[in-house]
Amino acid sequence: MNNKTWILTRAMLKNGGGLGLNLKSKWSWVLLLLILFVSLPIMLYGYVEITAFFYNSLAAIGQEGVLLSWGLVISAMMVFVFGVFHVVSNFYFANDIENYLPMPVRPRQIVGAKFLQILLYEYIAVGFSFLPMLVYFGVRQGVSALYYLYGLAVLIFLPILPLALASLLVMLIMRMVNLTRYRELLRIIGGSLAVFLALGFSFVMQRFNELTPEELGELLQSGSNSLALMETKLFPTVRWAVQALLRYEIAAGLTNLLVFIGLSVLVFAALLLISELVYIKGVIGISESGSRRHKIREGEFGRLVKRRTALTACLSNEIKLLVRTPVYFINCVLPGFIWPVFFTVSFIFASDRSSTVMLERLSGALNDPNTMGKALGIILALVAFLGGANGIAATAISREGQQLYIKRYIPVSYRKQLAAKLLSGVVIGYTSVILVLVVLTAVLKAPLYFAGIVLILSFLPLLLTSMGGLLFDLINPKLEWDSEQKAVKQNVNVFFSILFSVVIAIAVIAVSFAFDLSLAWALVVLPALLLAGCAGFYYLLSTYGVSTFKNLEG
Amino acid sequence: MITLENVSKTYPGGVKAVDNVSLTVPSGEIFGFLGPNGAGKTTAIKMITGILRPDSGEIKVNGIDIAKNPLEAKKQIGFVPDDPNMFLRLKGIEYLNFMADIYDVPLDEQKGRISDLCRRFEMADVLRDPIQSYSHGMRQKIIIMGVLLHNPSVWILDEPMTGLDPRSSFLLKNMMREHVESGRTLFFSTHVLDVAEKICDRIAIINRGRILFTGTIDEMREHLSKNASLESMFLELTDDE
Repeated sequence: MNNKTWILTRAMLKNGGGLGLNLKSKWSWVLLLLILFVSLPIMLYGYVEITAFFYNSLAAIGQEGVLLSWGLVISAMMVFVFGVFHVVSNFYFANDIENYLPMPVRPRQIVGAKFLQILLYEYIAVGFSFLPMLVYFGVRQGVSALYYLYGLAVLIFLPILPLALASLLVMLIMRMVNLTRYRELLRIIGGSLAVFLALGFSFVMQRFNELTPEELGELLQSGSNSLALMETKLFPTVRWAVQALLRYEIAAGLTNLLVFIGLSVLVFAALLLISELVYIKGVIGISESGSRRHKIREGEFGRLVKRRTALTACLSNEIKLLVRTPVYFINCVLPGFIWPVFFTVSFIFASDRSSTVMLERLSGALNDPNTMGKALGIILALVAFLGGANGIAATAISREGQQLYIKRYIPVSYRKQLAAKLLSGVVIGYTSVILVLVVLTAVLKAPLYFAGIVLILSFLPLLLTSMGGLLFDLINPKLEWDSEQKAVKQNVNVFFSILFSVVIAIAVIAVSFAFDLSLAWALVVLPALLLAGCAGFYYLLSTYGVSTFKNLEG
Repeated sequence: MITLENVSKTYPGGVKAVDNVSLTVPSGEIFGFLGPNGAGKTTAIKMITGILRPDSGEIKVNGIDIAKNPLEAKKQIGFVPDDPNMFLRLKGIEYLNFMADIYDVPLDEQKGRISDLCRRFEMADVLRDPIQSYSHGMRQKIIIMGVLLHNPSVWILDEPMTGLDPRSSFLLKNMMREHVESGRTLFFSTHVLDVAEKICDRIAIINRGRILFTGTIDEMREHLSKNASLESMFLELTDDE
């Protein structure tokens, strides 16, 4: 690694403004700590419970090592998926690239620095997904310190391969998109395409990873963690990481660890090499904006000039910004489409028996009066999650950045401006709901009236999660940024918003199952629960929220 | 008319940006707010337009207190900020529609004014392009057009001449003159002495948060020869640009 890559990495990190955790008031701290201490333990508890369940089941057949292999593969998968979004935003749509292009630096140095910057954020994700599992396994096995040392090394090198794969795929696709004459039109589509293709690729790879029952039987017979290596085809280097952790006590463990580290470094080097060939041609002119210069004739003004209320004007402005800014579109709007689509595709193309049985069961549950109430609970929980995870409301203030002052001199009340921000989250959230409805009716054959109920009631979880997200962003806005991706990608409020929506989702599901709600009761209890939440947050937003917004000095 | 009474603002960190300023900007005159970089011009303008709140003092726009009745006061004002890089993702026409909606411009007036401003600023053939594709000067022009749509009685401009070509600059000066001749208020800031001398009827000079002088250009010249500290500050102003 050469010096300039480090210099660039340091400059990018310092300029990034961290994760945007800069709390000024004491109350902000109290509220945020409350969220962390309420929702994090719930999630960790659930995580440990699930891990324990699988550990015990697998240990019964002498295959507990599979747990590590799952943990590593799931983490690598997660790094890959998050990586695709990060790479598109950071390598191609970050405004700071134009600062580096005129400098005497090699493409591989820019790509290397960007890669390292993303890697840091991926460690946070891996810390959540793999660290608890690593520690749980260690505790149950009663391992020595060497295991943890190896574990740390694995953790450090784990994200490199999947992130490099994501980078390569995105770079190749963007190179091709930037070739065409229509690149302006293709730019947002290209970014979205990169995300779709990369995720599709991983999906296809996953399909090759399935075992026939005979193979599975043979492997099971041989015992002692023989299955652990079967799950690693998608990310081949994971195999050595698993071996290193399972056999840490003997020399083979060290050899495997060294092979794992060596391969990860090699893949990174290969990425830098390829970036020399494709990166610059893919990124050049990415921020160009063409104009058509069509003169407007006198008569045309009547058609072009419209009149709306201030609220509609603000809302339409918010939505236009979300859809037209590539980074916002790819990170806030697109995920809401992707998840329902991938869910559907994976079921439609699933050829094996287990998926068909699963599909039939789901379809049955949606048509059986005994389970419809609970099904409604699960779907509303899913909508709550989709609404919170898009981060639209949770970055609504942050996205204003240094232009927040505009909101202060226009003659529109702060309450109305906040309402427009809130509604933008709900409106975009509804695009996911529409896709969920398509899945419900076309794939799962739910009755139409049930779909109608979902359509109407979805407003509540979307509103509630948006309200929570907006409140977090008001408490802790990230206004100091020079590149749009920093407002949405490197913003801790999105994380809080996801935690909040998970808590809402768990609450809705818990109530539906604990009281074994019938559809009729679900129609009373769930809206009442969500409405109560909305009312509480409405109060908070219209008092504390409005006064905070008023006092924000961007 | 704009009035400031004993207005002060200290930034976190202790910098006193505006220090006990009292000022009356009458209607019917072009009023220039002159001072070097960092003198407190933009802070004062931000307080008048409602972007910042003063620590103490009172600000009224056409007699309406901006702290007590912010929406009504803001409707009196058309504000052109010093940085025209805003609403870049909107098309020119979308930005104009947005401003008309926000400032409650009736539809029929909106059509007439957009087409009139387009003609005067020669912007008709770029209105359907995104503002992102505009040059600095064009961005400046579209922002000014949006601000003038609601025919504000008080027009406030922060460093408006920066980046305009001579033709647009000339046009803007004419429009500023037109604005005050119809009995309305115009307040603009500049750090260029030359600009102030050419177009202002009356000026206020601010440095380190304090008003050093208020009066006509002729009064200023007279004052200048008697006041050494003011003179050295002026060297700074004339050196600039």
